[in-house]
Amino acid sequence: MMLEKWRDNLLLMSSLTAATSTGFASSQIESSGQTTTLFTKLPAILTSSWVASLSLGPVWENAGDTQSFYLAPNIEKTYAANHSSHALVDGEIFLGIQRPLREKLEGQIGIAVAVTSNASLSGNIWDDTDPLFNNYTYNYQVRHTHLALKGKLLADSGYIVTPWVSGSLGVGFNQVHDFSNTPTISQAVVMPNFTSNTTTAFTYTLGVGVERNLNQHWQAGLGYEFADWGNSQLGRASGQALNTGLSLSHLYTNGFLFNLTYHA
Amino acid sequence: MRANSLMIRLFTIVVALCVFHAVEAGSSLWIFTPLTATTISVQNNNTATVQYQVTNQSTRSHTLVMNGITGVTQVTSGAGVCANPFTLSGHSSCTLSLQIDGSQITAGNTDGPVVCEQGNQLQCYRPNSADTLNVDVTNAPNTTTLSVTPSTLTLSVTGLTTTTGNNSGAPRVFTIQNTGSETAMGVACPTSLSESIMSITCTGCGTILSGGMCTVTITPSATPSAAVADTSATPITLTIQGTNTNTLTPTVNVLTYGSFYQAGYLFSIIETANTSVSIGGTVAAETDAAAQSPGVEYSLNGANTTTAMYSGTYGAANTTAMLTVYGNTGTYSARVCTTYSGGGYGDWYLPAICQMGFGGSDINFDCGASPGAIRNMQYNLLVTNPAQNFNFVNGSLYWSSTASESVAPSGGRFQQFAVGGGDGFQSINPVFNQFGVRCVRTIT
Repeated sequence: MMLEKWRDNLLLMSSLTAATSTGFASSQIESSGQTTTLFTKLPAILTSSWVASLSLGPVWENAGDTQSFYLAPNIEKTYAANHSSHALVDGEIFLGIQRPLREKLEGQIGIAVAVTSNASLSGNIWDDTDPLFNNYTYNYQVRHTHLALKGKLLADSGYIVTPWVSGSLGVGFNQVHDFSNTPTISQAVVMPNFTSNTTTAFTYTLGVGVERNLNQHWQAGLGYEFADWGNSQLGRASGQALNTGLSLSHLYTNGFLFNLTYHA
Repeated sequence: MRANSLMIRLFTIVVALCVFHAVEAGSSLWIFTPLTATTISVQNNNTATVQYQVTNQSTRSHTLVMNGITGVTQVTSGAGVCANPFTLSGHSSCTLSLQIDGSQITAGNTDGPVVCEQGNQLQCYRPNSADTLNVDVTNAPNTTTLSVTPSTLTLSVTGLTTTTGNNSGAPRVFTIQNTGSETAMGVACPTSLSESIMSITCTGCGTILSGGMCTVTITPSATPSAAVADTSATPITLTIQGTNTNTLTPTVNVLTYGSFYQAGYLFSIIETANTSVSIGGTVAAETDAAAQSPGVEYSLNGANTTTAMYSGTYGAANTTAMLTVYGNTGTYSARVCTTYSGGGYGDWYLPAICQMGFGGSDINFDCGASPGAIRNMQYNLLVTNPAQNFNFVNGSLYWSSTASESVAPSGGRFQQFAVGGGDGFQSINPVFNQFGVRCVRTIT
């Protein structure tokens, strides 16, 4: 019963979105003040169906930013980020509904939960913010998960594959951990590390791709996705009196995701 | 043109690579330049000092504190020595001075000293790996005790005629004995820069077994350590010690006629044959015990002399006889000396006539016409050192302890000193006359 109620709510939300996208103005719904107007669209809602998909693939983060700040009075360092990019594994489960929006155009909306493997960020540390004293390397990990409202538009023109675009907005959880520093000269002494920290951030994705029907219920596809994980921040190190640990306002990823969709 | 362009590009690439390399190589924010050895060995009962010059390579000023190391103390006094904390402006330096306590430090490489910005571990540097403080702690051997005999050796300068006829300047010997239960190691032969010592030679030192001995032989030169008439001369101190022993500081005096020693001026030297002991001799008190005026009588109230007072050379025997005959009360020549306490000594006596001068004679003695036949004050002080008066009153009369046999029992012999040299004068006067007194004693 609960599941059916939840589906009804989701279908209603989908119908509202579909109404907007098909030119069925919401104002018309509101101004009419009559529920009969809405229910004239019920046949369309009733054509909606459950859809679930699993996406998996490699993504690449864009590395961090170079930043300089004081850790204590008279102790200022530059953290010069490496610009090499590392491949991560990104996986996403999407659960929603699909319905036709207009001829040859289908829409999906639902909840997406995504998880990535650890992004490894690294760079060099310059004491006194002077590249002459480039005496340490650093490394830390960022693990990202998010929960988002995701929409997807599919153009079924009868070709062998169906192109689609997608977008999502949601809340991300950036777990920043395992910061370490390593001296590059024997005279430099290992410093206390920044502490691990988890930040909650606004996150969004944009995607484009194609998929193909395998049978009546299953589709497989490949897509490109751009994601912004939002901000992340390490905690203070022991002895640090000023500012926080390394922080990033955004961490972007680009990647290719293989997706397998079940359409009820 | 194309060749030139290619060359310019190659040059640019090379320069860029050099710059890139310089940036990548890194450099200490502050560097440590060793001023002493940094890999050291220290005994567990000893200390050592290690120093680094710390230079701030940045243009920024840094205030630095050294991380503590157990057994290492930062010394903060001295010119150019780093304080604690110490502030180095851009490109300036100071000396980081460390005292290593062998009883406290843990042996091995300390990987330090680590010096941090205001003690904050977020910015710390150490010397490069080859220069970190590396301490080897060794066990100190068990200690033992050395003793020296005698504690003071008195020698005569070379080239003198002595009372005993032996040549002066005989080398004399200290004996070092290990009286402890452990073997003494590294017992070094002492050295001296004094020009009064010709040489020092050691036999059997270095390693001395428990109960064993070694000898240190001192050979004097012709220069005294106590210059003539110098009443403030100090002896030469030698230092003898091993790596696990106490420190011995025996002293050496090298004397000549006229040297001030044991509260008097040396006028007689006995060059003892036993070179393990000091020379003997006799000194004249620094000043007169009885002034010329009013002076004192030879005997108490002019009492008669006895035959026990006739010695021309043994003043001590005469003095004893006089005390026996005249008693230990009242004021007279001999008792002035036995009650004299110059220099804190209590063994002064009234000299015999031949100890005072020469040329005189009586029935039972002859001081000799030759001035040095018997060592005496007139010759060995005043004639030998005519520039000094030794506080004698020129031409005045001094009682000797020698009674005159030829004018017995009422005559005593006196000395008239000639300051500046000359023979002086010896003769006889009635014992009730009042003359000056200069006491003498035998050095010990």
